[in-house]
Amino acid sequence: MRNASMTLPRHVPEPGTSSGGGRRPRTREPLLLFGAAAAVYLLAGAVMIHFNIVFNDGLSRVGNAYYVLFSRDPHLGAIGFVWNPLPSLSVLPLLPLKSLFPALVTHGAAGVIQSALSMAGAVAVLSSCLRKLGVRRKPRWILVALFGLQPMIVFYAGIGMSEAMLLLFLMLTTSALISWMQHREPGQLVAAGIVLGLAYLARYEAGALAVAVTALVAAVTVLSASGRPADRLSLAFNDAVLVAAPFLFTFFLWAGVAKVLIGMWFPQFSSQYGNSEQVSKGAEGIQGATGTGLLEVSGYLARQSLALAPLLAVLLLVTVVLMIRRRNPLPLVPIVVCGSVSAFSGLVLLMGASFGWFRFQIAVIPLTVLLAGALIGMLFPQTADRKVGSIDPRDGRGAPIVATGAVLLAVALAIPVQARVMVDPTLNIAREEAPTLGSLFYPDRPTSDPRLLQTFGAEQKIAAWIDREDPGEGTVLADSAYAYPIIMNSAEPQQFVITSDYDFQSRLEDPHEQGIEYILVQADRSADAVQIRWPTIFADGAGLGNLVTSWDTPQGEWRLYAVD
Amino acid sequence: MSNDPVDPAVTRHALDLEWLDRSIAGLRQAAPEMSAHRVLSQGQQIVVVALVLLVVGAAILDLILALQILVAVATLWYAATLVYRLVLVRRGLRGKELIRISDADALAVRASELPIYSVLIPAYREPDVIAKIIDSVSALDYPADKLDVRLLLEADDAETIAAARAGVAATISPSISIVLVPPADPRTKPKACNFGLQSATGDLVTIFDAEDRPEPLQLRRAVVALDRLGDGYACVQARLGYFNATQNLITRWFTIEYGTWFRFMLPGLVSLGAPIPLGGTSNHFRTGLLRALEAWDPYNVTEDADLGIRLARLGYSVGVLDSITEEEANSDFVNWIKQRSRWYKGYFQTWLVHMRRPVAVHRELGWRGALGLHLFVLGTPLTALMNPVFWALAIAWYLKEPEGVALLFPPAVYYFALACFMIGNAAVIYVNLLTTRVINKPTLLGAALLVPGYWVMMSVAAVKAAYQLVFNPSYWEKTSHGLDLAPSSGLVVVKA
Repeated sequence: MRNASMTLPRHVPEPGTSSGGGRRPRTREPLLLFGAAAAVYLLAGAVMIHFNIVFNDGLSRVGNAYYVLFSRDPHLGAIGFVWNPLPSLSVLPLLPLKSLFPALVTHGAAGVIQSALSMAGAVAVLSSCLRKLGVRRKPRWILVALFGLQPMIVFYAGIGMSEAMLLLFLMLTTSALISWMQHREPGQLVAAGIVLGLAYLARYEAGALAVAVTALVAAVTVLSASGRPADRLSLAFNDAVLVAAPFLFTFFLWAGVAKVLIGMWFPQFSSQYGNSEQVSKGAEGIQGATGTGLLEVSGYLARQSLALAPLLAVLLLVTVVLMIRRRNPLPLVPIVVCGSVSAFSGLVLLMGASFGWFRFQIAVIPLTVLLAGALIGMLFPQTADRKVGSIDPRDGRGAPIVATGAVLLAVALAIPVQARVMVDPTLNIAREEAPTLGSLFYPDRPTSDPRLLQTFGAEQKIAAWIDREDPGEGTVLADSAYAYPIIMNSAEPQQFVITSDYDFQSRLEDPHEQGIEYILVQADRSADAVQIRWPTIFADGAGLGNLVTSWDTPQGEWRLYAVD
Repeated sequence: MSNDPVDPAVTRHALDLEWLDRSIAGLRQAAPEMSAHRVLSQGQQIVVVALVLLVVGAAILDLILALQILVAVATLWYAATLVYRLVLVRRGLRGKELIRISDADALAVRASELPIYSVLIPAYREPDVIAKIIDSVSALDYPADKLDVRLLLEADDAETIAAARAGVAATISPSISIVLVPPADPRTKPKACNFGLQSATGDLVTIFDAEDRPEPLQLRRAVVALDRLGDGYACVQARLGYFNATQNLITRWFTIEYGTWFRFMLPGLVSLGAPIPLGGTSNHFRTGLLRALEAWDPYNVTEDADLGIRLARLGYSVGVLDSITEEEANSDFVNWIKQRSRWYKGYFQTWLVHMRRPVAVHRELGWRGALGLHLFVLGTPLTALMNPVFWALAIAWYLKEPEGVALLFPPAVYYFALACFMIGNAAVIYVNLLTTRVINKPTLLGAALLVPGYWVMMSVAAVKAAYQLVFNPSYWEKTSHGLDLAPSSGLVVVKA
């Protein structure tokens, strides 16, 4: 049979005239920045693990991912619904490597890789934001370094928590919105929208971010679109929906999945492990640090903000004045993006619903850097390089250098201030970081406590003890919300019957009949599912068994009961 | 009928059986494998029978496992079509693939340098809209002496012929002639177009439907575009939009769908180097090349899409021209189902025709282009056909969690299918929200959110299409036009 297509005339392109349109030259700068920053942050993470600086919130996120793969009932629902899933989901692919690198799980190193790469991403995207704001290469690189090397940034890049991911999403939102302000292409709203949707899966603050960004987009479109007021309103509504829809999707998806799987729409607020519960339990300690009443708490927030970014207020004022005089709305983007998260954290603390940790204000760090960038971009717009790598003949002129230098110095001031605050627990500002870091750097100070540098040391011993006993699969009952360091340090995680296991409830009801041999409980854990069911178990074993042994830890004593 | 007063010469030739024969059998004779004269080739028949036997055999051996595998394959298919579409949107969104010819450039070509342009307007039983196309053609910014407009009417369609004669007599434009297509099966638009093409005198040729309102500069833009693009481009396709977008919910949905299609999908396909399923109107060709390629397949009910694939297989490119032809969106449910079922049937036909030689097709189109053939040409109707099954499963699962459904989805497939279901549906609605913004019709936002209702209509059409593909493959479901007109003018009665 003849090849049919041979009988019809075929187009044969002349050699050398391939129609492939020229590829746009891609700049390698973001990739290089990402690589360099990732190397620094991974190193920082390794150093922190070496000194045993591991924070609960980082380790427990890795734990949530760990149960998905290595608990007795491996299923995605085991990831839990109190905390946002993305930090845990993102480490899932790393966990099968635990047999090669146990520290991925035991020290939460998988989380450290997550936070280091996220922060490196934030650095790279920040640089492209600064480029879009018109900051030419030299000051841009200095600004990027001044951001990436701030102690708080390095610390949260290496600690394995979700701050880095939050900053990455803040930078991606900023980048997309700056582009949208400049070009008004709906695709950039899609980019911003998708980032907002993902951000909600990383941090609940993203809710405030999404609301603020949607309002900004709607306002900008109403004020700047052409046509009759009704047309402008409907365009603005379309833009607002476009940027908000992915967030609404993840918001309802996450709530719906929680409702279907554990019967609560918003367990992060309503469950025994949720934020409200934790904060109300810690209220006394929190108020001791932050004070009470609007005035005192605001003052505390101002001190935190000053410690993170001492000249933020000055930069903000100058930028806003210049923004209005130049009629350049671009600086609004970082103000709204970073400001909304920061304002939300402050508001929640004022409402008495937050721990008021230092890191909750971390968004002011990129805000300061972006304001500095916007300022430089507005002051010297002519020196903005259009193409990365072009050489500007005006390099080295006098006045711009002085002014630019002043702005850069204003940003740089944060570095020594943060460093000081983060090692001195008596200042009561960096309440999570300072006790540990202070003990590390100044072991002789009276505030120093060597136990803070043996994080989870007791839990490692408990895990080793149980492993030696080798009671078999499904024999140790514990609430993974607290026992996670023990489970993660055990060589046999399937010994434990944990909250996400399908048969947890039935084994909890009747441990003896259900093959439970040991029950693990910790002091003062009123949200512990085991202690809720058996209220006196920590004190006397609740008639289920006898105390075998106990271990003392800074977080409270662990007791192990053997079931009769 | 043999003494048409408008153009006796054309009518004389029109009776020429040789033309008629070439209109019907040209492609079938030149390239039998490219013709949908038969739905399945012998090889394909064997493959279909073998597949059916395989599925039945597997079901007998282990029903649950067989169903599980089918569900897993379907899930992968959904994921692939979804990802492909999102890639198309992303690439289309950049807007680089739209060929934009400025008004100034379009008008800069002097009248004496413009080529003769043939405009084919097939019409069948639509006397009410014939006057409108004469108006629209008269509104084209193109010198009358360079225009060769041909109304292609079926010789036994007395009503429309009468309306056309009256319309032509009333217009001052000398360039409109009536071509009577001798009655012969298949009674399809492509056959009429082929017949009209035989006598067309233009260097370039395009097709408009009778109810179309092409943008006046479109022909000039196409001239400039084809000249700039060079011989590798056989065709530029103008964008289609609707003038009755807000008539009712169906036309709103249809408008959004066309916006997505012409603003994202087609430019995305261009960007991937995948074949472009041409739209039925406003595609502008080089006449000589089109004749040499045996033009449209009279047996394919989406001859336009088929031609697009054939062009790509033969190495020609198609550009998407940034110029809009406004059409009438189908506003009536039954009428819409008829039209859509014809399109879906045609897409099935087209895919089957080009899959007669799968190896050759993959070599000719490259892997990206072949993916387009599978995921887009087959994917559009097949997904619509599969949807009701999976919606039913999802609803059953949500309401009752029946054991049977759980058996079909082993955990790995379950999570993947659930993610596809949630993200896929949300993403497609989201693309619609994006479309309303990009085509600057934000008032359609509400319709965009309600679009699942439109999917149900698509699935009804897909079922009808699949049924017809088997029992009546070349039957042409006629779409009525003029449904946007004021009620006083009366609805067009169509007996297909």
